[in-house]
Amino acid sequence: MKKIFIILLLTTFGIGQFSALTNWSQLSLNYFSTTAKDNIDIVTGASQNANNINTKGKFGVQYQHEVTGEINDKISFDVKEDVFYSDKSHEQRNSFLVNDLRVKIFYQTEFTYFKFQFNNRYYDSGETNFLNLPGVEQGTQQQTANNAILHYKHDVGKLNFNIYTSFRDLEYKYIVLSKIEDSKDEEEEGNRAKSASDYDIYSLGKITFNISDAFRIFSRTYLKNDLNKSSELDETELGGGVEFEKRLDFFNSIFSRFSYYNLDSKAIGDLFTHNLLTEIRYTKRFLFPLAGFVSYKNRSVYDDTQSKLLRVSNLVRVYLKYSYQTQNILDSYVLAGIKYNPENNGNMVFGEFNQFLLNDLYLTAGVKFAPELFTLYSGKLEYYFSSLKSIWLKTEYTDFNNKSGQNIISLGSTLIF
Amino acid sequence: MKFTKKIIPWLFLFGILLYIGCDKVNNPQYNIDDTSCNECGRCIQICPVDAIEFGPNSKAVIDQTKCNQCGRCITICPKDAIY
Repeated sequence: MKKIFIILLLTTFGIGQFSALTNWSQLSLNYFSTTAKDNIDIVTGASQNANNINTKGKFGVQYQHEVTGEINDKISFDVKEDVFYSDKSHEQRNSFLVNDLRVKIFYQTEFTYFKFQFNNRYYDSGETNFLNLPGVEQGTQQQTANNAILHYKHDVGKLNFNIYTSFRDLEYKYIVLSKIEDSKDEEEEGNRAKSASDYDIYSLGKITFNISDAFRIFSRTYLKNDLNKSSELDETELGGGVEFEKRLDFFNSIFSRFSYYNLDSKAIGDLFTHNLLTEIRYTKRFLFPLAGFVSYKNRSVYDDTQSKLLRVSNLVRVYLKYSYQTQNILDSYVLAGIKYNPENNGNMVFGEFNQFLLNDLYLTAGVKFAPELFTLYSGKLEYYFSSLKSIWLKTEYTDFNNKSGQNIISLGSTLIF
Repeated sequence: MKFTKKIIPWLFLFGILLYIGCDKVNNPQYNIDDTSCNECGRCIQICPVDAIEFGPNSKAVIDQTKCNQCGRCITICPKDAIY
């Protein structure tokens, strides 16, 4: 807890010496309740132990802060902090405190981009459930994840080089049976917690050649090395593809990508050796108030043994938003959309509207209906003191197909300075 | 160039029909639509097997060697970016 306060202080005041700073902060008080009667299916968003932990009302506090700024015209940074403390367990981890810190530093010129990023995620240890993490001892209490990322991009003529590497360290505890030192009985065994780490490295190398303003071809290699387990959880991808991106006119733009890669991994299996990815996105802006897009993504594999193309997942997304100007701080809007993803039960329709009630008071209401998973109803009442300061009251009720429900009521404030 | 403009949508339509018409794999696999992901990190926090992390363009990426297809990330994602 002490560490988190130090990080918060550094985030808020420590980098205040830089001139061009933008701060975004949000503080909210949350109240959770569920109507679970039995253990809830793992697919739902509620805790498996909802009956014991979450049925009664629980309170929580969340504080989020983001600072962005420029050190000079080439170097900028972005620091994000998200602290969540609650009586309610954090889903399956049963963790009551989660702290998420992300620090990014960018160096950017006309032809060069370099990024260093450090992420730290901390879960309190006391009550954390035992998880089965792949590649490490079974029955672990995960406590901290550290992630250091380096990303470099450089343009040379029509070529673009893209190199990325990420080192991840998971710190966890696991329980072993061992002799109890103080015991008079030499055979007596007890549980003893031991600490250990799991290390992974993810690397990407990509070369893109710009054939014309709109057409590009690329070749890429992606490697994952698990430094603890010999090679069972390693992964190698090798492939390439073609991209087309064009703004047809002021109102229409199109992006498409087709790629193939060969995947080699014992953990994933031979079925996913030959992978095909197709992506197309068409964005349309009608006259000012109306805009939308249609996108399609497909992942398929070619199965050597059956000599057949098999689909892994399809995603079709249609989205339309109508904005209308008011005489107030913000515009109001109505939006609606469809997500079609039959392979992973992800079909969904959703809609939302935002309407000013009085001068600076806005009401937002929305519904998301995913027939195989849940229905989410949301409502938010927000009062703006200015375009940079507001307070709000929000409620979200999720109905997991009549098996259970989860309600979250939040009272919060947003401040940009 | 006009010819290219005309032929590309038809090629993709042909591709779409081809993919939708073929059989489905038995093992599901979840992925993240990086154009929809808003980098909130909620899927990373909820994943019970630590299979999700931020990738090259700061968007969440699923490590398929660790993912156990529990589907919890689908429910939690505010942008419905998991597919």
